[in-house]
Amino acid sequence: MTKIVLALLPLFALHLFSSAQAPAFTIRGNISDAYTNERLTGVTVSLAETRHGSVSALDGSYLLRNVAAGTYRMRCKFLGYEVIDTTISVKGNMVIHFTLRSSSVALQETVIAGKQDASTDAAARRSEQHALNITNIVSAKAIQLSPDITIANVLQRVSGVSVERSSSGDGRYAIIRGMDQRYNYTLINGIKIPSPDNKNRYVPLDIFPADLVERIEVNKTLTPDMEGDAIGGTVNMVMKNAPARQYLNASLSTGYNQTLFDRTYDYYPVKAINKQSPYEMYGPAYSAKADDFTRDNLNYTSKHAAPNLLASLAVGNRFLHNKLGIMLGGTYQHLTRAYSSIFNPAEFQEGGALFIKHAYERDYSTRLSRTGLNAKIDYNFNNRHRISLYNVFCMLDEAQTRMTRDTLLPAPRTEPGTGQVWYYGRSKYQRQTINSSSLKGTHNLMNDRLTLNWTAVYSLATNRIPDWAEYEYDGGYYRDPSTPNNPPYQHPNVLQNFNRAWWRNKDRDIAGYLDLAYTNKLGNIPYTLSAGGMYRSKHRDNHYDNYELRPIPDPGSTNQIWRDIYQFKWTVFNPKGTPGESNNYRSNEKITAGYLMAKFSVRKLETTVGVRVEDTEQDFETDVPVTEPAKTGSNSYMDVLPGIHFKYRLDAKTNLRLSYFGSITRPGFFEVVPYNYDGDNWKEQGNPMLQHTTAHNLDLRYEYFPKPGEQFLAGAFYKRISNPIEYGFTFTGVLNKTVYQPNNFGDATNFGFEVVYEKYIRNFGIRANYTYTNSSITTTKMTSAYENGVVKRTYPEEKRPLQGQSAHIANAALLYKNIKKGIDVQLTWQFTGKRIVLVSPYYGFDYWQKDIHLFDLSAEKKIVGKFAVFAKVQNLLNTPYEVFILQPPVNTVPAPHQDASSGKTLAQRDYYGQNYQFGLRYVL
Amino acid sequence: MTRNQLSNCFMAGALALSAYACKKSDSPKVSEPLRVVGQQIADTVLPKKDGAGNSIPLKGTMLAGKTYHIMSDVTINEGDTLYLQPGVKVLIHGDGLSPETSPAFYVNGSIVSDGSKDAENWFTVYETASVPKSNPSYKDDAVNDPAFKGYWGGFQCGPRADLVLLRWTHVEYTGGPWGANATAYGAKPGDARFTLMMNNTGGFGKLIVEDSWFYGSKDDGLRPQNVYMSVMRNTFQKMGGTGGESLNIKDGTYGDMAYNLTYGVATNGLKTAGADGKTCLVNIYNNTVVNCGFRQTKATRNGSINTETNAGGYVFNNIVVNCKSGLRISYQSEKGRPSDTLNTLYGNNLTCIGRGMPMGGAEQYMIFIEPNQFTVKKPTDFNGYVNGATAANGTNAGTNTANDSLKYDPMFVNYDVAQNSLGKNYRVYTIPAGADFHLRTGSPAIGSGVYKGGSGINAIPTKPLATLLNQYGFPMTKLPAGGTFGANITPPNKDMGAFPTDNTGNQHRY
Repeated sequence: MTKIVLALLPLFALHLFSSAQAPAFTIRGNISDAYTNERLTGVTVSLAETRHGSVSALDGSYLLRNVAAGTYRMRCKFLGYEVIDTTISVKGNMVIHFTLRSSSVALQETVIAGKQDASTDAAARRSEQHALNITNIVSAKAIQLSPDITIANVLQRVSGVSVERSSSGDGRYAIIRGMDQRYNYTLINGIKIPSPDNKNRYVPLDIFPADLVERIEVNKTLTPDMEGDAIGGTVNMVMKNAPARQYLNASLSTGYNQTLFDRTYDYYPVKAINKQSPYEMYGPAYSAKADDFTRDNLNYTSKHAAPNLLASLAVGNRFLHNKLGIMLGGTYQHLTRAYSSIFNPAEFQEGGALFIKHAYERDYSTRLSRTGLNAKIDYNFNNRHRISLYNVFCMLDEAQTRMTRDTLLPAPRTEPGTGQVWYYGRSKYQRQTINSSSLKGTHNLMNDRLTLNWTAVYSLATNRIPDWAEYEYDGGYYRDPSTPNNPPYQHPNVLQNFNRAWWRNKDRDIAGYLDLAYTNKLGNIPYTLSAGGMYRSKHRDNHYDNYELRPIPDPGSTNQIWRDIYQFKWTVFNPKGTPGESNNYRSNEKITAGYLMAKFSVRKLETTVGVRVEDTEQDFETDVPVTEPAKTGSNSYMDVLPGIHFKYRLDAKTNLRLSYFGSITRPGFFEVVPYNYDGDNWKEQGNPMLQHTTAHNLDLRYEYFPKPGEQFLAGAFYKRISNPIEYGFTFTGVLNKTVYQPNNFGDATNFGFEVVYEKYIRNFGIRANYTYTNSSITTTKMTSAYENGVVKRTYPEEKRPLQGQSAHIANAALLYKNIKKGIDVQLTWQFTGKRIVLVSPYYGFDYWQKDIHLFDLSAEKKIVGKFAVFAKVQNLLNTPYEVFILQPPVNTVPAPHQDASSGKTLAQRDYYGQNYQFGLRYVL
Repeated sequence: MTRNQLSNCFMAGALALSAYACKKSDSPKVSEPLRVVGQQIADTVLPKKDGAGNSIPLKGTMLAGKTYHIMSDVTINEGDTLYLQPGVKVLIHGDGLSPETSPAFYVNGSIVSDGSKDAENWFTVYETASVPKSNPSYKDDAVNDPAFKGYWGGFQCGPRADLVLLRWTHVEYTGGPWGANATAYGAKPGDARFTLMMNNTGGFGKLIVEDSWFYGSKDDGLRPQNVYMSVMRNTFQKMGGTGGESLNIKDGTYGDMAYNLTYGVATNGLKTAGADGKTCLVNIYNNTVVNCGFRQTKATRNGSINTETNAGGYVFNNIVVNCKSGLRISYQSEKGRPSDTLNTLYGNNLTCIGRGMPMGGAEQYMIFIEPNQFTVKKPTDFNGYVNGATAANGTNAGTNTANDSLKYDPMFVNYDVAQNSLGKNYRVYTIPAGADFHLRTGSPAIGSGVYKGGSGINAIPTKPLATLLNQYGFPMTKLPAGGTFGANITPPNKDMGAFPTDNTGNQHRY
């Protein structure tokens, strides 16, 4: 084992050997919690008379070497535990086990200061073990030591979770057990947060910097006290809490993207972007002029990227005799990245054949700024009443340049090197923010038998994409049809119409929560009865403005030749903007919910049973004139969601769980807006008649926690989903006319199993998980067939897995931890099996992501005092992201990048390059 | 010249003369019945508003001799008919700057503009100092020509519109932008409205456009989808500023397009395209297409007559002069997918180009046939394309003979093709005053068309396996024929072009 690590980590090899000295006697043993029997990691063991000291390892073991014979005062110290101070006499090698008593039992009554550090792995495992429902938890320590810098990337290491990536390759949405983002929700400290997405309710997780959180909980089952609109699961980010004592954690690091060693990036000044459209600036009566549109933001200069900057600071302490606790956290990441992509979208040819018409090659340059601020203040009036105020603010700015070359593969291309070519330059700047403030009170009444919790929440999510702009010109290399034997000539670059668009949307929540829990005993059966409710009023507001700019022909010509952006002369085709666009809408949603829940333990069986009722009122309003149908719409429904969860304690280390719960998923906000768009081949329409999705969920899990931090979990799940929302063709009921729209396509099933394994042997650990998922849904697709020489469109049903679901997901991490030397090393492997990333409206045209293996490496080493250095490498092997369609293209002139023998079409291939990060951390 | 030829010439001249003389000597006329549909519309400032300020939908009869002023959007409700007697002038007050100031006719029922040769109807802009009309001095200036300003919104049909009939009617200056109601019509706000958009999603609408004039539009002219159609003997000029066709015919359209003159259109004069798995079957015959395709900024769109994506039909007897390229039966193009070659028959078309060599800069050359598409030169065709090898997918890699410039001059009565090919004349989009596209004696187009009863090269070819062609016929019979609410269909002529020598074709004078 050591050899493997040595091979991996020559850097740290020196430290491993430097400790080898001639032994006298050794003292070894295990340290565990007196109450729970869990092994404790990180306990300081010392002999007062000597410089000998040790820290208990991942498996709770400690080792003192080179101890001369004699009598020593031996001490075991661990935060939150009573100190053990004893005297030993050493005559030979010894084995001494210690059990530590938690001081928190004693302290609990007065302050929460003695609470366990919830950010450790062991604490995370304890929480999993004791949770009412089926949960996976990632601790802050694990996050800190992981190669990940955003929450989304952390999540993909949880069993049963894969991520959908943004164009920059970062994870953005969690897919839990094959159920995509539509079926999951995101919480901060248990409070649901609004989304900056302009159409949907799910939250992009790449907005959250990883080091803001204390832990991430992925709940795969819902208890009645949780909101019921998750079928896949929920992601709860628990932010850093006020500590028991003074706390300071700071880090500063830098890094670089491999691609940027190889090429420059295309820079444009963000400040050149007009934050408001002419319509927003001057009102609806204003006619935009050519000069209202800036040019600097489309003028790209080649630059060498400055190194990345990542900094985080968290400070906390308690004041006023421990009554007041304050925790402040801030983090800032500024990253520059470059990556490249090829994209060959599939075109349908009659009879179901596939050909590639456009071959896009795109080079991206992107600058990301991620800011997170976190403040928690709690005040304990006395041991019965406390309130806390919590605020989190996250902001993600992305300035992206996309340079595209697009080659038309049909005629006039007759051979490689000829054909029509388009050139595009796109600037997109996006700012997304999420702000959530909550005031929470906890009151223990009736001799602590009754607990009352209340929370008042105000949250706001915003999104702005000002002046999305992409210019376009086309030229290429043609053969003159009159002299086809001459070499191809270069067609001049002719400017095309282009668009400038402004997006702006916000999503505001005002919510209140009230929970009551009464604990008592009936005979010798302890029970807790809880009841509670919540109300949330949501308002969404979407604005969209688009201007089309058209080139003015050069004098004496019928078109304009591209020179540069400053010489581009354009007129504004629609000077009044697009106030009536269907992206302009407002919607409201009011959720009222209540629940009753009972938890009781009969011998080894713990039962949680209850019911939740959720009432939904939704409405929308669009800007279409009153003379058009569906200017406004509303919907209301009520769901009764029962849940029952059994936990059977086979022994202190083993649980068996069985649970059933009902849950729902609500349609996206835009899906019910009756937008209407006539594409070239079909009509797309919103669906105000869309019904929400309901599901029955069944889970079985076996849990074994042999030692602290170690676990073996095996579980299976089955979901029956009614009215899932998918996109497909719907017959309008008039002749055989169809529209492509979100709709309810019958029922779907989803089942699978997962295995999680975590094991530590002294300084080495392995974490692995595997999930098998099998889902299926049937939707209507489109294809065509010839009948008597007449082409006929048909709408066959196609059965497929849910979008985003991989049959196989696996993770493994190899850890090395030497507490004494302060070394942590982690090598991770993340595997996402093939899955549909895009559902095509055409039969047999779905886009499948190829199996992908990602390797990341991170390491941390404590240096002088409280300082540590760390390094992270993401995407160690520069693994490409590849997407295929499972039939070959029929192009006459061979399409680039295709392997004819594969029987498949390569639709997309992205290379992101390795990302490196090095830094310094200070922990008090 | 041999005696035989001389006598032939004499005979032809005499025939033409006698035909002319015949027409002059007798012209019997009988009075048409006075037709009124519903109530008479006496107010001339429309639409009227109700108490809440909403426009009252229009129905009934617009009266002969009256001039109506349209101040804002007009709606014709489902089941209602707006009927225009012969001799009605409709002036639309619009400036094309915003949806609100570019009124349109929203047709959810029927509109019948029943003009006649003697009493034409008009839909044109109300001219003011700030809303000037175009004039013949604008010939090649799409940026400044008021013809492309899109002063008003044209005719936009709802999904259940039944009948749109324009007869001897002028429709001018259309294309004003879509507004907040765009989405109900499958469009996007800010897009230019087509002159006439009809997409019946509940079955088939009926679109009859005959003997009418279309002058000036920002984008496409007629855009039918899911309709039975007859578009005959019309004139299209100044259509499409920097893109757009005279007729852009979409899937589910069955009908005829014949005897139209399209002059100086941005992209294609005539274009048909179905959709995936959906047919568009249109017979395109006896049209004259001149100077088209040069204002399209996208390089590989065709420039005269183009069939794409499952489009089929009989394509015969057309004359194409000085267009970016001749007939294209498309295999694949930037926009299109393969046309329905099984249900396509073509031939007896004449393509004349005045400039076979590249014209330099970003200007295009002209070609007879774009290679590597389905189109080949048929034995009955007149053009300078030399068929090449036909690939497995059916496309033909032939060559264009650059030296064949002007070789296939159709010899119009008063339109000198050679003269109009010089310099940038090929880009002119205004029909010269006095131009006459009838055929002069000796024109290769005379007697070279297919027609019912013709034999040899004049016989309409047959294709037993082409189910759709045989089912729908040439010309089609799907629309009621004759009368006020029916189509007046002119069958294919033994001459090519819109102006055959027997004068049964297009009746317009310029």
